[in-house]
Amino acid sequence: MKKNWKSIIKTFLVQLFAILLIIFLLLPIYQMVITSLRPSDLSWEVPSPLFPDKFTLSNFAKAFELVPRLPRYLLNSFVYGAGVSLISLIIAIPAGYALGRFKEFKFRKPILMFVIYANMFAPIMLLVPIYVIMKSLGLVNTYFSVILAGSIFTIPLSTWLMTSYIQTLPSEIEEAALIDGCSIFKILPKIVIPMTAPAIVSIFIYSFITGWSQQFILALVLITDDKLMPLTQGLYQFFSRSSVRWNELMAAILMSTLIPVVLFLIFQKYIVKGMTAGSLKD
Amino acid sequence: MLSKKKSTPIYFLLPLIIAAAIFIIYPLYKVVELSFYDANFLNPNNRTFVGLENYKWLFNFKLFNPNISYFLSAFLRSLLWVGGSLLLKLVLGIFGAMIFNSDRLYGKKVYRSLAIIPWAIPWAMAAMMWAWTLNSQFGIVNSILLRLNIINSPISFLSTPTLAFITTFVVDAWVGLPFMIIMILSGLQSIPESYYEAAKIDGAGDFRIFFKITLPLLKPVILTVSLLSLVWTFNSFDIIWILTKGGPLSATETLPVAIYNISFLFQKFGGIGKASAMTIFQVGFVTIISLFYIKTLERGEF
Amino acid sequence: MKKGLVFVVLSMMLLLAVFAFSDETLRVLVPIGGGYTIEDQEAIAKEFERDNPGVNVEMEYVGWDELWNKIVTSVGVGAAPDVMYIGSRWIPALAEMGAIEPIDDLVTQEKYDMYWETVWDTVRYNEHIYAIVRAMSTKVFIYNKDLFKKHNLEVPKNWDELLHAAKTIHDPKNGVYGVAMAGQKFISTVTQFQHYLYANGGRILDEEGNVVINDSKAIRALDFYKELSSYAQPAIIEWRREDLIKLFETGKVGFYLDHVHNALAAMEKGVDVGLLKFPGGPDADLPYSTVIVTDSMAISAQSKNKELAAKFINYMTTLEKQAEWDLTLGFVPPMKREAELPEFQTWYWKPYIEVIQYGYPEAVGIKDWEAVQQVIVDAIHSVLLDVSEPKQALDNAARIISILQQ
Repeated sequence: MKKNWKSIIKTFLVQLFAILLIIFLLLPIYQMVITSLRPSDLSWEVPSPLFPDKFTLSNFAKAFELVPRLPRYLLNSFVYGAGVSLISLIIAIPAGYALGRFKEFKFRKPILMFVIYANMFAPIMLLVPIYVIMKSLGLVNTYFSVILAGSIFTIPLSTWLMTSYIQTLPSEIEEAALIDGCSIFKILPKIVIPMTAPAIVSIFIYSFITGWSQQFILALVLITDDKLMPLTQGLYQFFSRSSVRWNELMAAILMSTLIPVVLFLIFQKYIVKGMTAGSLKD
Repeated sequence: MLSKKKSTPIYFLLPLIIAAAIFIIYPLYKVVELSFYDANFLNPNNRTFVGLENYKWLFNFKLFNPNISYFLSAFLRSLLWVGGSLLLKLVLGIFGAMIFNSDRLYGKKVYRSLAIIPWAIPWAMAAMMWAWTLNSQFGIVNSILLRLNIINSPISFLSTPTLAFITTFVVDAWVGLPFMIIMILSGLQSIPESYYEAAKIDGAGDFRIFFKITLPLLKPVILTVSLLSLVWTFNSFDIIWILTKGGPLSATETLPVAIYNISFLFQKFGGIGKASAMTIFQVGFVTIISLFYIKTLERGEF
Repeated sequence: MKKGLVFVVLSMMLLLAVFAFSDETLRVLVPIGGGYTIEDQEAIAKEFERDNPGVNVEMEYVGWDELWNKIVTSVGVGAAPDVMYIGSRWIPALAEMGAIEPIDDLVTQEKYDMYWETVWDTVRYNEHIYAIVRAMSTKVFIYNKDLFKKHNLEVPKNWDELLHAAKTIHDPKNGVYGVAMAGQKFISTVTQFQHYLYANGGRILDEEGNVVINDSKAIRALDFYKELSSYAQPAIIEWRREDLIKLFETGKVGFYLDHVHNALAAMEKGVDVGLLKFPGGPDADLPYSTVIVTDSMAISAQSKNKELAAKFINYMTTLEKQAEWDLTLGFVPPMKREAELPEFQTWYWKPYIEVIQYGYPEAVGIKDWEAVQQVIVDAIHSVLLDVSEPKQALDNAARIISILQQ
């Protein structure tokens, strides 16, 4: 490789742009971290310091004073994550298998197209009827309402994940089992599920994180009881108050985002693979 | 052969079909039905049939701007806002993917892992973090701009109409950027090295390679990812709600925000009937884009 | 893994069931912020429980921002708390919604006579009383005596002098501002503007209920408001009145409108505080003016513990308890006899009490305050942001408010 000055400049520029892009992507996270580490009694300076000068961990403890139900919100987010992923798995695994394996099935194409279409849906599109339906079922202000409503929006992609993964696996083992006299229903738990473990993990991680993190608008409308609020809604109440105590709030947000971020980073392979499969057809 | 069986799938598909019927088809039907009624979210059953009144209302009712109807301004605002966010996502997405794919970059893996972090953050929390980051007195953005002497006095990013509009879609772009980068990156990685080598042998410069080889080959990925992002951005609510709640002066009141406001805040001249009529358009837009999307997928195999 | 999930979900359902069952519990919804703290409210709950054994008081907290939403949505789902702490401005809307009921029979003549008449005006709708006032506020200008002395300024007695004082003190290059004003989309901004409106003889509605927010007096008030804002701190729209104290405490603000407790806070930070009652405007015949704002406690129509709720409210509003509350939190005494107590005769409480007679309630006859508030804030914003002239902005506001009043 000819190392002339043109090449060096190009390399430098690439590094520079990469750093600038990362700064853009991590800026608010950095802001959150330094604010949560800054002692809250320090008076604010303008312009604010770029690098933390004094450190303290006290805001993390104080966050629990500011947000008395913080542990409860955490638990609730977990419940929503677990609930949404459970329902998504229950529905997506058999449906995905059927759509992936049985290619001659009469309604296969319409159903698949419907799944792709439904994947585009977001809560705002069905907000009003979901509220009305939940209200008439008496489910408003219960965990169920948000779990059920939240699942609506993770089931399509979960199904698609299963469908595309199944298609990459040969059907010999299932065929052999069928010939041996195994019923088609037994095949599912005994053979299919173990075989499709990677897809199942993708579905679980995707729907768990979605259920955990992204129920803001659904919770806003369906939940008024503080005891049932997920972290996003619970913390939002403290965000929108006058004289927001930013240090403690940022500490609370930092602690709250740890779980989805850590989960995401650990399972990023599955998520990325899932998303790639979900939006493209290889 | 398994793939020849025609009947068994029904049992496996039953949960999906039932769930879809109850939680997607029925609500969609309800949206259409409610759009012909006047009702309040506190008492949804106490409703009056109004026929096409709500649809007339969509185009006649003016609120803060006496020149254009509330609904139309929200819809157009959505289109503009989405356009801004999508454009930013595409430009930065392609740019970012190219950079993170470049052989000249040291520590590619680290950059990629860092780049997906915004994706992991719940939108609501991302919005709260950004609100603080953009704070006019204590936020780091103003701090940097002041120190670099780019500005003399702090900028209030969320308090003036135009700036708030831009700021909110930039934050939305931030949220969607990792997905964009990862998708385009995987598209980039599927372009065979041989194409580049051939071009370099021919003496092509970086820009020519990009525009004549890379971009055309990325078209399918860019198309699918744009359509997806278009719909997701069009449905975006959390970010605007937390940053500006639709203000100032309705500058950031996109269709989703307007639907929420009409449903739950403006009971005198709003209500879920009118909100349903608005939702029809929200759903309509998504449906049209979805049809394009499905067509694009069909060009690959099924 | 699946078994673990099932276990989790089942145990959560169990938890939920546990919470569904409650004993003699009184649910009280109270706001936090704007002077109210969790500690104060908790103390009250504990006291009531102590004096009423067997009763469990469950306080629910929410910020002022979300209080209205919370009340409305919990009424909507049938889960309204027993006692609701409300801004009295919401009473017409809540009454129309069926969320609260008249409580005339709970108010004895003796109790009625304890309060200023104007206080009852704030909780009356369609001739009925719907709530008992728990906190009252009037506002006067808190000013920095040092800055006034420095520029040889007299205490302003009219609007011209007020503007002159702001202009003289205003020195943005050195971070000194003539006046501090709020502009964020929040109730306190509207209350702030209403002071100017009322001081100039303007109103949102006249006695017959006609919308008059765009008459000449109102336009003049908004004009003045805009002019004054050019001598205020930058980015007004980002500020809430509740946070302006932070600015004033630095000693770099000439004057601003606020509560007693913030006057005290400023004094503690070393500012030489003076108080000046809001002078009447050029179109009005008043020496002073103020806006009477009250927060009150109402019993939810859905409550199954109405008697206990009434007991709780009366407990909170005895002379002693009310005085204790107002002294601790720095609010204006809503009771006449309370105002006569020696503790309120200080130089800093007196102006707030004196100005009551010149005050007018914030929301008489307004049927949907939250929407009206939004409309007024938008009018203020469009003028502050130079999007429209005061007349245009107020005409538009009047148009929408008329629709809202139907």
